[in-house]
Amino acid sequence: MRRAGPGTRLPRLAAVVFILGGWTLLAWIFYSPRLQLFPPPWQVAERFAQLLHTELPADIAASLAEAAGGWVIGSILGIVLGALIGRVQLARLLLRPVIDFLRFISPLAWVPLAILWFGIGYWSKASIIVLISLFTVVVNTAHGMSSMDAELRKASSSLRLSLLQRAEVALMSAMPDILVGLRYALGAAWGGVVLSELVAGDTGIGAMESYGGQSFDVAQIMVGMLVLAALGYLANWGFVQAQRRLFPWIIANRAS
Amino acid sequence: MMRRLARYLPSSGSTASAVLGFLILLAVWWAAVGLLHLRPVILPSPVSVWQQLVGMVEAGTLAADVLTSLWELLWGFVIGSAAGVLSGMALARSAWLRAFLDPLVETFRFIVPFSLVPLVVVWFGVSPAGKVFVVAYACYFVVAINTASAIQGIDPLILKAASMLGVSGWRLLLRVVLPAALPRILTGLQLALAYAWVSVIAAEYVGASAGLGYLITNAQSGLETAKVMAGMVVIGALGCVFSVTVAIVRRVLVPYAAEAGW
Amino acid sequence: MIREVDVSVLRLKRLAAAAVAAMTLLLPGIGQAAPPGVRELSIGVFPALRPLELIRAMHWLEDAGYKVSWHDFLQGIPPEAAAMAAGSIDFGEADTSGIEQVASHSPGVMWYIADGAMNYVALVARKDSGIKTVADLKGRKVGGVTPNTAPTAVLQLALAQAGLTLHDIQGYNIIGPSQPAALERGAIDAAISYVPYTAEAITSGTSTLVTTASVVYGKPWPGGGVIVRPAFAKAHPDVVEDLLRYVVRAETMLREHPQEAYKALAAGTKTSLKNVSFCYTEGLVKPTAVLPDKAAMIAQATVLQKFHVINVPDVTAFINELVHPEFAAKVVAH
Repeated sequence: MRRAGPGTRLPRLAAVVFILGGWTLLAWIFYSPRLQLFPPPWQVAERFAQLLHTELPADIAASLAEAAGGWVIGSILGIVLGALIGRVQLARLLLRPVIDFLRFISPLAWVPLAILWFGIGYWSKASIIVLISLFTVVVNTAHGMSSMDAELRKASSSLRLSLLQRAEVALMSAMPDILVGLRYALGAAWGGVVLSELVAGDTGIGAMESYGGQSFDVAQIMVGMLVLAALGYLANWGFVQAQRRLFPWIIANRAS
Repeated sequence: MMRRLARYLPSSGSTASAVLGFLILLAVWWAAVGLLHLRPVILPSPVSVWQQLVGMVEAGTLAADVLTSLWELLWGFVIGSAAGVLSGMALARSAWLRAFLDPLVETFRFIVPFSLVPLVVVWFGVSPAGKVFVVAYACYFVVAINTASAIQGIDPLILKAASMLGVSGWRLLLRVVLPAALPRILTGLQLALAYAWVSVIAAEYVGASAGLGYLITNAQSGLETAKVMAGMVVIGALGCVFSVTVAIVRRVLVPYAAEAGW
Repeated sequence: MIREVDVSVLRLKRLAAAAVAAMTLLLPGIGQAAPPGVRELSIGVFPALRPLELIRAMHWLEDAGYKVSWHDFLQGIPPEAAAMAAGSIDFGEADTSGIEQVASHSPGVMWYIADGAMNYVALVARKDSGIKTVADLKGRKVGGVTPNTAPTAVLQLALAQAGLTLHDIQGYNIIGPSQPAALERGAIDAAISYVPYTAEAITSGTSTLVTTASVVYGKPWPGGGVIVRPAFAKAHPDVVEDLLRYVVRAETMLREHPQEAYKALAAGTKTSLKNVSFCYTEGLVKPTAVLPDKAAMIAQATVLQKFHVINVPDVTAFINELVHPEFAAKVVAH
């Protein structure tokens, strides 16, 4: 939101100090000798270092694989379906009402069903991410595809472009909407990953948090929370960078 | 011919469209069950799901779970949104506060509310307080960010005109700022409510003893697929009710800012 | 601007090609295990003092030429049953009451083919918590309360005998392996789970035994056994019988060479040898005959039905559908 500059550096520093200070204060207030319910920052850092040597890399890899796989598959499906809904009347007739209905049932409500269908493995979590990505991307893509500039449409039909070329034109003109959908889906994917792992996890960050909760190891839970936040931040940053390089002519809308 | 049919299609995003979608899906579901002969644990028939639903209503368990979820939703939404609106207003007013709160919001925004669930279970056990906490957390950021950009996005000419006319202080806030910012704030609240409903269900997956989320995870652990699907239908129906209610409220409060479909 | 769009399209195409290449490399690793041939098995276990755990520790299946992927299900039967329903495991091991609960909701998901261990559910309480009997649990924090599992069913029966229900206690869903630490730290006051985990709290000196499943039940609690995916059993009855031969071998080893067996089990459940020996000598768990005892299971199911833990229209028909002793009968007859 604000670009870093001399005027904002002091408040930013103040914010960091505030977070760490407030955290330590709360840890001190809620201190209990046997049951460490609110570990101070350095204990969490220590736990992080410990976990880094044992299960954290494997958990991060598992969660990443689920998020990435689900996001890619869901986005591709979403773009294809969205294009169909945006441009093909039959698809719009049948698919749009179905999606309008299914949207009311949050993808996260599908977690138990996914477990029943896929067991405890990779797909029970990736399928949720597929659903999340699909719903977000399809809406944005359909909107982008159907609101193609009339001038552009006339131009591409009068130029007698082939089907593939017309598809390319439509895709590019819808790209700003599609990219917004992709970025939102990527952001939402992490929530789906951690939740499905909490319920059905053997590996992954959510599973790590769940085991921490089992042993009342709050530091482990906090490590999970922070690692997940870092992953989300990096994914978002990576996406924006990729968007700038692939589509420099689309003015990236700084996040909200 | 398709084009002519399309004219009768209900507008996108509307309840009518959702109902039509439900009917289409029901037809496909019925056909799948009849033709594919899947095991009931994978895909139960619509009839068995309906029977489960009726059974839960008659036993009174559905009412208890729905009320628990609604109670958690209400408190979480109210607390989170109130805090969010206040923060949003503060963010919009003071540049120093904005610079200070901004990094805080930007950092905590990326902490996924669902990753908090094991934490609240440790802190609050199975009591609803933990779920309220998660919901409030989820609502807060959406509402705060939308409120802030809503107030900041007010046309400065309007503010200038108002100050020229001598309107200031509380009157400025109530009669100029809020109505101008209201559509965007309401959008934020709409999004927050949808997110809150999802969060309630999700928070009840772990460490709960009642609620719709607890209902479907419990049913899943007993491999009662029909009950899981019955629960999903209830969740979707309630989500639809919220959406319609919010749309009506929006039309009443801000008739001058309609919503677009897709 | 057209030129820039061209560049974007080119970059996009390259990116898509790279993504496809990456996916084709990753996909085999991501997907589920290839459907097992007759020599490849997928077995689910909850590490407890039961025969499959012993078979795993002694590597008998691997030595016989099977390629086995073992899956640990620390949450007990619910995720194990889900995995079996989804077809990702062929065999599993669970407590009869847990199996009955799941099967009552979803018949046809598993067949019960062998008895494995008797009793082996124990309720313990921390020494300084003041809990001496089940009635003392009222209002206290109890770990191990998970719907559709055996320890919770036993707890329900025990509470019913004391005139209480699950709503009278504060139940925490803490799995067996985590319970000793949670008890010690004071997060919970009592815990119920399979041995050796609750027994570990006793042998480490922090807790005392309150009761066991057999005591609550009034006669030997049927305990745990082996389940199989029906489709697999129909297709490969020879493999089922082969596995059951090893189950018999495990039970025999527990009776004739207990010390060796205890050592192997201790390593498998990651608890101490002292703990495992304690469980067997104190009768917290006992080896059994392998052939499933239908009469005992009908009696158990009737009790569970009486206390509303399960709800089936006809208990005898239900058990007849669930229990398939024909495989074990062939093996035991030899």
